[in-house]
Amino acid sequence: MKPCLIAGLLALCLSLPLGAALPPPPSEPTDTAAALQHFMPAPTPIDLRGAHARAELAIPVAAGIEPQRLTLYLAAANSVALRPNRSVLRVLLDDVLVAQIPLDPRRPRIEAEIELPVQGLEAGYHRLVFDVAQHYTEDCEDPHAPELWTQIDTRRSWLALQWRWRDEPYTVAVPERLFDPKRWGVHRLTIATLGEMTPELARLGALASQVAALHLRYRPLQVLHRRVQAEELQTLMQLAEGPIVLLAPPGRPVVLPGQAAPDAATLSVHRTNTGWPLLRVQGTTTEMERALRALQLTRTPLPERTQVHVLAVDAPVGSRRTLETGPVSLRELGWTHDWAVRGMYASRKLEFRLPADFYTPRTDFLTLRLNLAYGAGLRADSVLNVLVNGRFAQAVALDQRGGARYEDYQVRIPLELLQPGDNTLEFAVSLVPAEGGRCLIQSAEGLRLTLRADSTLRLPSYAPVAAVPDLRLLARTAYPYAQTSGTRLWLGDTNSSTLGAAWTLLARLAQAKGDLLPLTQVVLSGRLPPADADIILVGAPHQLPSDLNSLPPVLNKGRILHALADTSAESGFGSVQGWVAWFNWLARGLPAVQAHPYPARVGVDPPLLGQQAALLQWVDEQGRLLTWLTVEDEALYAERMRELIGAGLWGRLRGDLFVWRDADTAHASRVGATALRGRAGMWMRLSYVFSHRPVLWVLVGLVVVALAWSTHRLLLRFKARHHAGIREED
Amino acid sequence: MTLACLRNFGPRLRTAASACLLPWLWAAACLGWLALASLPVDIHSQGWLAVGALTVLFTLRSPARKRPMWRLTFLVLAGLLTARYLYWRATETLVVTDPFSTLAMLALFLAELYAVAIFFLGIFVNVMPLHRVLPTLPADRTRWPTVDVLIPTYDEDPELLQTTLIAALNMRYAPGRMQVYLLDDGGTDQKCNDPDPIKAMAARLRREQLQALCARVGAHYLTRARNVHAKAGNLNAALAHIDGELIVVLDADHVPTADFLARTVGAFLADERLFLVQTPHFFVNADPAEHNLRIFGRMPPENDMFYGAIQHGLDFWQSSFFCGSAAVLRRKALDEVGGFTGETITEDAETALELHSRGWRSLYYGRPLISGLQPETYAGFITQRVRWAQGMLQLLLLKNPLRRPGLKPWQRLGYLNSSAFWLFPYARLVFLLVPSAWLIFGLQIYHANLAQFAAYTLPHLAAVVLAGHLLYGRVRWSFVSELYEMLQSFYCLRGLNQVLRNPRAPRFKVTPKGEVHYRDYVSSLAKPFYLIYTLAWVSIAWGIWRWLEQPLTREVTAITLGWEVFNLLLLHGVLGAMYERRQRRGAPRVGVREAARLTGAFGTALEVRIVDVSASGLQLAYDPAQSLPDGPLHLELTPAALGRPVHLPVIRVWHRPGALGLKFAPKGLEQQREIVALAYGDSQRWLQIQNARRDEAERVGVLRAFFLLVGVGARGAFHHLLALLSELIIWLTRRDTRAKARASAKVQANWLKGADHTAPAKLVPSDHLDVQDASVPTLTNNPLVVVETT
Repeated sequence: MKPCLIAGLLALCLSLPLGAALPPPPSEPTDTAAALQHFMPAPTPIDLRGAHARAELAIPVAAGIEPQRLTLYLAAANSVALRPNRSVLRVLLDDVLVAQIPLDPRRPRIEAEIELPVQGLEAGYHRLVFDVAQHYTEDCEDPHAPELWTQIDTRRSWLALQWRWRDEPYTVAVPERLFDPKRWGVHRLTIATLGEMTPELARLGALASQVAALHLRYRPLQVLHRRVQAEELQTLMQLAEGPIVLLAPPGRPVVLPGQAAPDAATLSVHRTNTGWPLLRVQGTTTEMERALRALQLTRTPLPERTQVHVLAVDAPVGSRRTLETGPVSLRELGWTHDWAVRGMYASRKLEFRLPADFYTPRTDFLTLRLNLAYGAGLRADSVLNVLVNGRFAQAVALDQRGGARYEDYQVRIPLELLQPGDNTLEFAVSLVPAEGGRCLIQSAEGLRLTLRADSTLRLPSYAPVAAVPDLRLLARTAYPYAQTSGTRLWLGDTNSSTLGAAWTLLARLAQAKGDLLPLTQVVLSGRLPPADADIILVGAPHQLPSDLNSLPPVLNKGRILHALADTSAESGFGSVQGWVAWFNWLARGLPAVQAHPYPARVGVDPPLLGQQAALLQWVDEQGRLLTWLTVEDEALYAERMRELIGAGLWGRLRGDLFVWRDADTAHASRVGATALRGRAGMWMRLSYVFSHRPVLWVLVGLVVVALAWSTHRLLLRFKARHHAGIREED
Repeated sequence: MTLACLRNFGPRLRTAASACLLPWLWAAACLGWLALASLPVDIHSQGWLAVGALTVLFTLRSPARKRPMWRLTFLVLAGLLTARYLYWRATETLVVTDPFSTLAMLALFLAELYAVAIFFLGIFVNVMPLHRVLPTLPADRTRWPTVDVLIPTYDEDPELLQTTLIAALNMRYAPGRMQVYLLDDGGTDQKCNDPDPIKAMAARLRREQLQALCARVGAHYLTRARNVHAKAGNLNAALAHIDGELIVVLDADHVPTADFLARTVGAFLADERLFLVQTPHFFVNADPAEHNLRIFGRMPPENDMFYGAIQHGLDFWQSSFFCGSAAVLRRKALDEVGGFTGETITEDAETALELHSRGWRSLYYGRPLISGLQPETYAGFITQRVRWAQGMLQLLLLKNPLRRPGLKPWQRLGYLNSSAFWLFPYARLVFLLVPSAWLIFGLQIYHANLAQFAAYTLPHLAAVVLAGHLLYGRVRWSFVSELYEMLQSFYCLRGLNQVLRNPRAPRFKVTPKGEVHYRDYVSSLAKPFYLIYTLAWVSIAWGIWRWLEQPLTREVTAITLGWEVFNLLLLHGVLGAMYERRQRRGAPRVGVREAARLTGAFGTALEVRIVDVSASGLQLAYDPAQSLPDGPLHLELTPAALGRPVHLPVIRVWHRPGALGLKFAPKGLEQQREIVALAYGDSQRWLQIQNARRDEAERVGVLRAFFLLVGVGARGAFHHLLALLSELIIWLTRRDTRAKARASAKVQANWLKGADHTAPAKLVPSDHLDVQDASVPTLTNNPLVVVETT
């Protein structure tokens, strides 16, 4: 028994060869491997400071898979000041200790391969906890001494997961199994269509993309298109590398391999040979649309069946709930219970959404009225910090030694810290015991704070006004395509690359909006839709419709034509250094770059973009907002879209022109005029215009002179009338 | 012919069109101005506007002084910055928190609202001041109206009255068409029959003295049976005995120049509906603040703003009002309203309001034609100001110019400006106390951050200061208003509250003039200001602590600290003004530059230059290489007021090389009249002094004025506090001595009762005593009567 115990302990305690080189981490996450930073909100190392510290990561396990082996490759470093016999790093998975690593100051670099138990690793999120106890002396010590630290390298630390598909059929009841945000790798969806591409089919493809994206919540989804013939369905199912949505031609049912006869189910899900799901949608256009909309619902479960015929869907198309003017409690915003803190440090977040067209010219405040209480024994520097979108906004001093209770404690947060779309309010509390220092027993157990969920948030009144074009607003809220009832999509071509790019963009916009975009029409090349809706155009520059009454600003001015040249490609106009215009264009970009003067030139030939892609917005003469996603070579769409929808680039969208090749060569700029959108009256629009163009204040001069002149004339008239004939001193 | 008609019709049409369109254009421009004033924008845009507007204001400062159109542009733009501030203040900074903070916040806001209202009213009043040249009298003297000159008196020194009477009689006018009356309220029957025999004797003595004076100089003496309605009653009683077509009212210390009537009466012939020509009150001595801070002559007198700017503005708006003296009134108009109305204690303004509402007209003539005396002590100054404050508030409450029938709208605003101004004590005290509310008590008085303060508040303050400098820069240094308001606030507030409780309660109190005191002392009225001064220091100290300990609120603390420091710097001036410097001359000297000749015995003569002169003497400057004449000295010159040479006997008082002090030794009334004419009869001299002060004031910019005031205030406060310290040390060291003195005084009291006769006692005026002489006991608390043992 004892030897087994010893062996077991050894197995538990020892990390496989400490000091041995770890296998390199994956460059990007896949379904089987991902660096730890992939599971963190920001790619930062994990710092564990103090005598006792803890960090927790949520490790997702996708539905439908059965983990076989889960290995943690851990790369860390500890302080050289630690006492080896008193310092240890524990690794826990779902509160079960899986490894203990001594922190040896003589060997501060840690590289460990830890086998994590997979028994009981069901689909969902599992807590991977790094818990450290570290000391620098045998004697009593300052638990917050700076030499007490251990750092986990989240880039070199990574998880390897071996899994196999569960032998469970797919059902339409669990769309999450079809589009699972818990999968580690890049999310790709293939939409396969049969036969010729039609506008209805393209619109259904857009809808399917959005449905899938919404299930993935915030995980980027790349959508690929594949045109198949009936006889290629078998191959499709054999070689599937990810989930597939198969859109049948409207009115023509599709018989999948293995099916004896066509069925009437509008929505059915099948397992491909590789284990991935295939979702078949068939029926009339209306039925197909209805089926896809039904699939989008997350709170209304569909039957536990592999196929259903959706008869009706009655669900409003709207955006996620946005904060309205007036008070709303934290409970209404998702805090189901009060936040009770025990210990020294804790934080909790609250997410809320502001409307896209949120404008207030005044220096106004979001008002928090907090109901909170904290216990006794806190040091005067104890504080509850309020952060907005990661930025410190306000602090509540918890400096009453005997504790206190606050009702309606007012915290005002400047509106300038908020953004259209999603915002995060974080309450970060730091409870420091009043007694501390060396050789004093400290207990954090008595440090308490409760922030009640009936605390409220109040948004001041605002005007629904926004300036377009604004790619940042588009990225954050899908504005204005989330607002209007008649967004249209224009495609320059019906090839797979263009379709995939368009659907990927729409999927991302749906995620930004939080709901389906009201796409009313898809036009496959040719003339533009009627001028009553904003349009999203996807196509190469040479495909732009001839009836486009106003070209994007970049194509209007000869100088800027140069600017789209790809600096990495040779062009007929000479070397990069010769393209001084490119620097000039960059000078107007964001962030600002030094401008260099250059002589004007007019370029008329492609290539313009080269290997780059561009996302542009402008307002045409009819007031429509046009958003154009373009590449020179359509084959580049897939790669460029994969880059764009990632958090790295999507969050950098701003201005009205965004050009990128990869995350390192992306540039944003504003080249065109802006226009106001919204339901605000003239007064608010004036306010907006004056706020954004202070130069208009010169109009004050006109009014002032007019008033002064007319007053002067009236005074002279008064004088002539009432002081006629009087003589005055010189 | 048709073409000619068309050619003539065109300009007429244009004129008619512009006449019709102009009000609409003005209305549209006003609406645009209001829209711009209330347009909410973000802080950066507001900052740009502020920077741009202030740049334009600074650029327009010089042309605005010369051209009315630029002046108006300046004022409209400055008003826009203030209006935007007010809108922002009202819509974004009034946040209700706890009750005390809310109360303090509202008090501050109301005070600011008042200040802004007064600012705009001031712009309205002073937008186009009128500087008239009055018509001259016709050559035909028979057309000159008859004039009665009334000089009411109560307890002024007969010597002072003699000068005024003589000057009044010196006024050039048609012989026989002018009478001078001295209206004695100190010698009425009521006073002469006072139950107190000493008072009755004093009144009878005074009556006799003044009657003899009038007889000697050729004026008429009038008194009345009872002292009712103070000065207004005195004047009304005199009306029953006089019948001149015009009445001149002169205060006892207001010495008219020889050309007073010649320059003013002509206006009455030109306008039958004219009831008043008001002239400025020009003073030859310093007010207590100027005297105690030693700034007399360096800056324009405090009242110059009213007489040098505001009255000209009121004149444009036909609402220049009677100021109680230095004015000519039409008897017929007074008879229409039953004389000088006395429901308020500022009967002068009240009478004018009554007459304006009946369609009578007034005018203001800005040339100084009298010279008077300001109160010498802070107590006297406050007595005067409290009376004015109470009277104007009574006017607002009892006469309400906003609703009084008969007044034109612009007249209503003129009177509103004149009366509402006197509510300043409320606002000023709020401005003094409110910073402490945050610095000490942490009350949230002003919800704004530093950026907003910089974008809204600072430009507004700058605009107000610049506009004030434009409107009043020639007649008042910047920040002097704040200093004087602080000086008056506390005691005027008490007076105002009395009026609010009972609008008819206040009684007329005569302003003491001609007071003298021979040593420096701290005014007993300074006590309330010690509290405020101490509070300011405590607030600053607390504020520094708050800035160090509470970093989250540093912005608000910094702003409020700056405000409190500003208050403190001006409070220094207040303390300095309350340190009463000795005042040895009852008749102040006036600086002149006139050539004269000093002659002596045997035809010796010396060319001299008169440096200063009063009714009693003068100082000369001469070439020290020359020797003084011997024997009885005479001064020969041709005073401008007389236009003929005079030969005045003088006596040498003091002498040093190059300078000579003389006193007049007139023989007879004629020479007395010549002396008065020499000293006070030339209005050109007053005009030159006035203009010189104003030219100098114009050269002193805003910042320089501030630093000058800070400097003199600091010096004055230093002396004040030093005197306090000295008195404290004396008090502390003399405790035993006082105990002994009290015991000794008891013995003396028993002696006075006849218990013991050890030494005779005599009455000694208190100012001859050295209070440091502790051997002198005091029996009573009457400062004028002290028993001294010999």
